[in-house]
Amino acid sequence: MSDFPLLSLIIFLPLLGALLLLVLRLPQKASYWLSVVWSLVVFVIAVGLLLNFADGSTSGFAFTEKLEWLKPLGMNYQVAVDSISAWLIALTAFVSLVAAFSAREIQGRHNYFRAWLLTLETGILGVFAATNLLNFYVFWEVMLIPAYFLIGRWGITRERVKSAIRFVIYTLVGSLLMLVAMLALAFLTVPAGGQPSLDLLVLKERIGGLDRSTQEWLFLAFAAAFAVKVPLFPLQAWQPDAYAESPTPVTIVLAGVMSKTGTYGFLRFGIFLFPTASQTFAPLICILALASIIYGALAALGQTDLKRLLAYSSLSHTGFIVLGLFALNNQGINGAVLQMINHGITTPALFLAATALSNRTGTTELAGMAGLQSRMPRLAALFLILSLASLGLPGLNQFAGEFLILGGAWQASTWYAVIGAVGVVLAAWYSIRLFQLIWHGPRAENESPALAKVLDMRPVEYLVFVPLVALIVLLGLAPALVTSIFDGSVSTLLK
Amino acid sequence: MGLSAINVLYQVKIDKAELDKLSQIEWGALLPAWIVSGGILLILLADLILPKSQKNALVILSFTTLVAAIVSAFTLMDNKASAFQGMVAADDLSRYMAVLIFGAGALVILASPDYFSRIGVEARSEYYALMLATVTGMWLLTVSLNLMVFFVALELFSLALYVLAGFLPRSLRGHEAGFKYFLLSSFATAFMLYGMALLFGVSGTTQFNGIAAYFTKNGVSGDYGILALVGLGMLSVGFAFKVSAVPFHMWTPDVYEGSPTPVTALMAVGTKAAIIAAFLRVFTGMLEPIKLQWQPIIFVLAILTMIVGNLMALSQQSVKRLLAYSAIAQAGYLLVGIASDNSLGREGVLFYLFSYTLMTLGAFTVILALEGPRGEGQDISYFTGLARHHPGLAAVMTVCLLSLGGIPPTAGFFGKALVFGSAVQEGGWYLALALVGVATSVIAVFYYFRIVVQMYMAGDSTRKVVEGRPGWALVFVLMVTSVGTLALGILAGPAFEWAKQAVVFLR
Repeated sequence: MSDFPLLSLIIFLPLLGALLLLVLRLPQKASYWLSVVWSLVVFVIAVGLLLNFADGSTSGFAFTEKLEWLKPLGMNYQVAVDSISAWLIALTAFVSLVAAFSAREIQGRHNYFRAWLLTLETGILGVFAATNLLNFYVFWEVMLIPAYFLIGRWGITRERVKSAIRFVIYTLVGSLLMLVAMLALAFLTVPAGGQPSLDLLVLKERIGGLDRSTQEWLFLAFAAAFAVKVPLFPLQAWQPDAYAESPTPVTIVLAGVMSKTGTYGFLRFGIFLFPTASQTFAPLICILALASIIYGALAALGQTDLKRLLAYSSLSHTGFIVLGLFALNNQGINGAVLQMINHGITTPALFLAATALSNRTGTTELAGMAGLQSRMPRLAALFLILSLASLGLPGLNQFAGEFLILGGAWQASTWYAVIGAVGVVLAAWYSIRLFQLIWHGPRAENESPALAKVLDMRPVEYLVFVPLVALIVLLGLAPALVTSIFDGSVSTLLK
Repeated sequence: MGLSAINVLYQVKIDKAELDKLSQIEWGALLPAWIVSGGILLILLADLILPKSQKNALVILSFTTLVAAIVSAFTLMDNKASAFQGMVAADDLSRYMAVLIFGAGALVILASPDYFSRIGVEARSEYYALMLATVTGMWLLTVSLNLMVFFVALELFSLALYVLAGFLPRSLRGHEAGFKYFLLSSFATAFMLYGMALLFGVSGTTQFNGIAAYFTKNGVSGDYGILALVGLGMLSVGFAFKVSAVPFHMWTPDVYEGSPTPVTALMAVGTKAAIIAAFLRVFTGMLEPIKLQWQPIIFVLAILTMIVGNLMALSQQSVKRLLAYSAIAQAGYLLVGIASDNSLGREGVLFYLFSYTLMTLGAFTVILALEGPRGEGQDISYFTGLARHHPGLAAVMTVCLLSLGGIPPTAGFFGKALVFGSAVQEGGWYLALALVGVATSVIAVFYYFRIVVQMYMAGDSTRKVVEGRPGWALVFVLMVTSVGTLALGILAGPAFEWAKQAVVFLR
């Protein structure tokens, strides 16, 4: 491979686009198209990066780049990808493209909005590419500021600032714990006469020298930060508000990709870096994951607001991902990574469909939507496909992931699989109930008058949804397309 | 020939040998101080000569003097570990502190005329002369290697600062601030002096290396051990007062709030820089042999300061007071690096000091830019919707607040990482310093973000004080501080190397 810093290009290109948007101050339409085209370019390059791993032969890190930053603490700018990160980078670029495309009309300072969206993309891309703990931490924090402004300034109701602040505080407590653990890790693993290092691969070798309880404390500190991001029960309190308050393009990125930074963190900096501590805490984390699954599902059953329901449903599904990860076997982790990608496609699609619906009905309250199928048959069909995908119908994408996860969980403990399966049943329950509530049955009494002249799906909406649905079906019918690429990395990771 | 004339006229006996001795004095070691002192004289003279309309010349003169001082520190100053018979140091730490202190002074002086014209007070030449005197005293404090020089420098900058604190003529708050500072600070200086006297008593010398030699030989044992300990304690009290450590911090919020904002900025930045550098020379240098005695003291000071400083800032409505408490908390983080007393801690403290100077100056300059004649612009309500009318000011404030909160990749993050890292490296009880530091950083984000929220998200403020754009001098200061904060973060490696070099002479 040439010395061209491809990874850094991918990471910082969105940031450059953000600065461009701020400087040029274009009117709404022009800035919209600039952000879409820019995101498309990033996506194309990311797919090119991914295709390098297409033959499934590279199982280690590639495209490594290194720049010294603060040597005495071992803090350097180091990025590299393996097949897992390459997939997640491609996913991020894809979801950001979808988000940029859906952000047609932004009230109030649209240039700033799109700039923040692109900056958020840079942060997330950096998190997936970082192989030095400092770098990881920096990009982790870089994710925070744009998300705060996006939720707090362009949020939907008056509660938006509170949700934004809660989001920041939860995340910050976790990440500051991670900072202390990071520093401790650097200093405690210094060999005699050596230098502290925060390089992932160097730390992996050195960590065997630490005694067990130290490893466990450090793991817990890291796990706290990741558990907030995913989110994992019981640190999920920030999520429903944040997802519901943020405007749809932001929710898409938060739910589709930002939650995956937490699960990726668990995988790369939890399981890979702390193998013994992960084994110790795997039962605890699996139980918390199961709690997320069940709690998310039950809460979804009780929601009256569409966006919050989808937020809890997302909580439930990410619980599955964590369960698969901490089953700590090949099958579970393969399923988890696959599900990271699947969830990253289905959830944006679901939120987009929900927005399409709420734009037409004028509300996100379920009470204001009933019996709509007769009037919007095509939107109903789309919703049906997405709901079935979400509950894990075989033939659509999420089935393969959930199956592998449950299989891996079974190998870890029968009970995990049983309770997980209950979670699947609950998912079916709330998904189908949601569908019935909105589309079947008689009309709602307090229906908005706007519905009288509502249109079914418009051409531009097909442009967004058809690729998403196509991906969902493709990944459902041929998941091996994805798994074959990263399963090499997974087995290397587990060694 | 001229020599004999002088001898006759003044009835003295100066011969060539005496003159030769004069030239052997290491003038070059204190060159920056001579330059700034010359500047003071020039300003006082210029005030007599210049017409009223040319008052800007004073600003330019002061600024040029300080820049010349910084340049001279690198080009013409000697490079000696000690000069003037071991009384002052002319080493890399002196140069580092010259940049920090004279640089801060220069930026504050640049920002002053805008402020004074807006609040309707005439900044006469005394202001600039006192500023230069303060800055000189601060720098001399950081280069002194003798208790007497230390004390004289301390008094020099303190006295000038007392007057500056009460500079606003018709402000009751201002007079209170000046008087309060004078009274309390004199009390603390007395403590410090008594401590120094006791240390002189036990060691028989006022030279730092002499005292260090005494402690290396005797420690705190023997008949005079208790005297040494009491002396150490009193010295620490004086230091703690000056750096606003808890529980000696009570003066800070009132004095900071009542002083003119440029003076507040210099107090927050320059005093801390000078005292922390003095901490390095005195505690980690001179008192190194008895480090087991003073480390617990600094440990406790650091923890208390971090906790109280951050907690008290939460409830503040005046941004100036909030920044005062924030400065207290930042002093706590700096004390963490001093408490852990390893090389990483010392180097980290110097780096943190650099970033602290830039970010605090930036924050105070933004407040300065918004202030009005009757003290408006200080309350947080003036920041509501600031981004709409003054996006540049809001952006600078955001960068500085993010850096104060320790968000990467600003310089503040690396400063905290280094300082907490040194605590972690020390291990044992010192881990508590890192944990408390991290926990209080979370609290700090609350009140920093509150200002950011007000600027960007709340509705429009009806209480606009400043119309139009700030002047070019103010813009320059704002740019230097905000860009510097970001640049120092990106270039943390080279900056850290410089700090490392500066600390070498302390061993």
